[in-house]
Amino acid sequence: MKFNKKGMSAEFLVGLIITLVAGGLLVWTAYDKLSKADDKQAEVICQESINFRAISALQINKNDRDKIDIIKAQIKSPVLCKTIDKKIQGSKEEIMDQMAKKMARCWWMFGEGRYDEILHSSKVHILPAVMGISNEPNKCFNCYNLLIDQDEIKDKDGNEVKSITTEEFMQYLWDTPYIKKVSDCEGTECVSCRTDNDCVSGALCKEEKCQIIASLNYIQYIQQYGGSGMMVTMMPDDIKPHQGYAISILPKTIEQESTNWFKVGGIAVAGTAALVCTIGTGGACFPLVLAIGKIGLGAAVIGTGYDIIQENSPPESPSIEESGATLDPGAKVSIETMFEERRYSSIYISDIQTGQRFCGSGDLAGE
Amino acid sequence: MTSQSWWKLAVEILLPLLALLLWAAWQSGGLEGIKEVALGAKEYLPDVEVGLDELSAERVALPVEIQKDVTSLKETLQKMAASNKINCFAKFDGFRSELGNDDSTISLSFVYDPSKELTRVSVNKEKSLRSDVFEVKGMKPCVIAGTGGNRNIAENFYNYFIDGKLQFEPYYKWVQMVNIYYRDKWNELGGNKIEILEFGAEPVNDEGNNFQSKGFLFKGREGEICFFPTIKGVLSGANDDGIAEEWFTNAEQNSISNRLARNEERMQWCWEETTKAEAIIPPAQEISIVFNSNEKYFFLFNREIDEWQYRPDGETLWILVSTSDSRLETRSEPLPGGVPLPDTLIEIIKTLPQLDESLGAKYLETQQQTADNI
Repeated sequence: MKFNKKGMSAEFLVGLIITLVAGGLLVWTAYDKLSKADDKQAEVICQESINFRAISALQINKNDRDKIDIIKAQIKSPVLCKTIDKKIQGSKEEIMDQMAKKMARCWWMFGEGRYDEILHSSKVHILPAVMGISNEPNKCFNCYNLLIDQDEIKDKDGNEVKSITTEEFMQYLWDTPYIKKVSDCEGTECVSCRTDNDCVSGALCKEEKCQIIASLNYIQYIQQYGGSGMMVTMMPDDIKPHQGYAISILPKTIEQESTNWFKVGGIAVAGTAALVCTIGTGGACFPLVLAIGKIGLGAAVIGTGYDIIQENSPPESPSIEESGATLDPGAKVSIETMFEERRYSSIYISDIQTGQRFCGSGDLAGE
Repeated sequence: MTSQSWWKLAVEILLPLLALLLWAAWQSGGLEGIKEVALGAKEYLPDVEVGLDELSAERVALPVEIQKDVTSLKETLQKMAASNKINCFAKFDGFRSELGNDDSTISLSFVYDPSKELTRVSVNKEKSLRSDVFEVKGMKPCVIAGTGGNRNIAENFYNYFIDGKLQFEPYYKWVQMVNIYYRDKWNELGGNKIEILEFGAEPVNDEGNNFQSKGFLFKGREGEICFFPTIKGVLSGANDDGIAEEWFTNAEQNSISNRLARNEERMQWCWEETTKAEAIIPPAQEISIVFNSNEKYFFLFNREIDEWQYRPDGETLWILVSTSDSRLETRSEPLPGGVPLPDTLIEIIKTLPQLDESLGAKYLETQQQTADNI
């Protein structure tokens, strides 16, 4: 929903003021409740605050004009979200189900990719043409910290499986339906109807038009429900008991940072290898370079055969060349770069250390 | 007159009169300067919007041409896996156009799942946007490259299937995972690239533009379906990076495509029925003809036609056409033989759609030049 000054009437202005005041009161109330809320309440409060932020954001002189603007501002209501720490337990299938649901829930809470820069705070620039506009650093937020709180993982038949491979998890995300979506009325599907019998090819009669109702899996839900999205896995190992995982939202930015992941190539061998698994490789895990960096994490990967190199490796770590790898020197990508990727709003799942290092956690209330 | 009366006069008569005069001046243009300032001030008011722009999503779909190639690949792999034949060949439409550019690429990942004995193929539109996932039951990915038992695998394959020499093992290598995508300027060669992650830095993975096998695939003995990494260079045969790409075209007499077309020993398709589709025939003026008098084969080449072979085969005649831009291929029904070759060729060419008689004339001219050279 969006309003412009040109269409403003007194009636609208009064409505707007009432909405803002009511929203403000709600925010104030919710802010108070957030710290005491249980997980489900916290999710709903977060989603509502994002929705309210989206419809109430006041944008002054958003687009550059010929005239010199005195002020340029974007004023947003607070985000009332907090990182939810959750222990999960169950069979292999139940663990995958819970992780998948949390990824989808994180996407839902932050507007399903419908808004640019939804986490950016309010900005007011006086005489922007003279003073310039400062760029905020990229913002991302950990929706969940998940801990697999059990000693072993068993499948649904009770057999111990030790771990869940990333391939299995990726496959689960692709194979499992999550939500139904009514297709936009386009082309041949856009046929007038009165009952379902008037429609063919499985289409149903909705609003007097034949429309296809498609079932979307988890990956499709993130990629193409609401706004365009992307799902990224950055787990240096299989999913194992007693391990923690972060689920993070990285909203799209207007000035898009875009990592050319596939431009990065080459295979690295030897050295300290880390197992990296990504959706871009069908969820497969494979050992790739990793000089263990100061943060204790080596490379991860996404896409087809690409390496992420920890740029500030300590001196004792073998260099890429020393480790026997042949890499295109212009093709190194750091984990930092990956977390700046903003062509699409994205949901990242990573080990908890990586998630906490690169994205904010805690209570966003009031920010 | 009291002061109260003056006020009354001012309010009731003079002020309306003044307002009327101002209005008249405004309307008549007498206050144009003031009018401009007043109206112009509106432009300086801030532009205020409430609410954020809402973005929409699109279905993650491949470009039509690439989708067609992916569909062809999927069908070919599934058909190969279901075939009872071993040591046989098949061909899909190839990825003859680039899978990407400097900024992004479509990627395909083939990952073997031993627990289910199948290969899962993930197709990504760009970055990590997944377009499709399909499974090929019974398929184990393999490549004709690398080394095994101190022997060069592609050389073994080349020697046996192309050069007609003795067979040495191994001539293909089963691998866990294969990636195909576009890579720009890797070792100075930008183009479609095949990568076998378990090979490490080399072989294969240090090459660029190394997936130019024209859609040929090979099936091994136990469900392995192999890709052919290729290498550049004329007559370079094979090495641990793969087989030289000319052995997948008609440029070499004993290329895989020619040997298969001639049904030569050791060469067999994985199924008898070859891909049939409507051929797109380019305009006649773009075609030139090369007559190879020694082997009695006629090849028609231009930059857009990868293969167009006219071949006497006992009592039958075959035409094999594929074009680089259409990625379509057709093989004609066997034609009645027993007629003089040059005349037959001309007659056949004349019957093909979109070709005119000038091609026949050009053919005769070329033939005459060749005869003169001989």
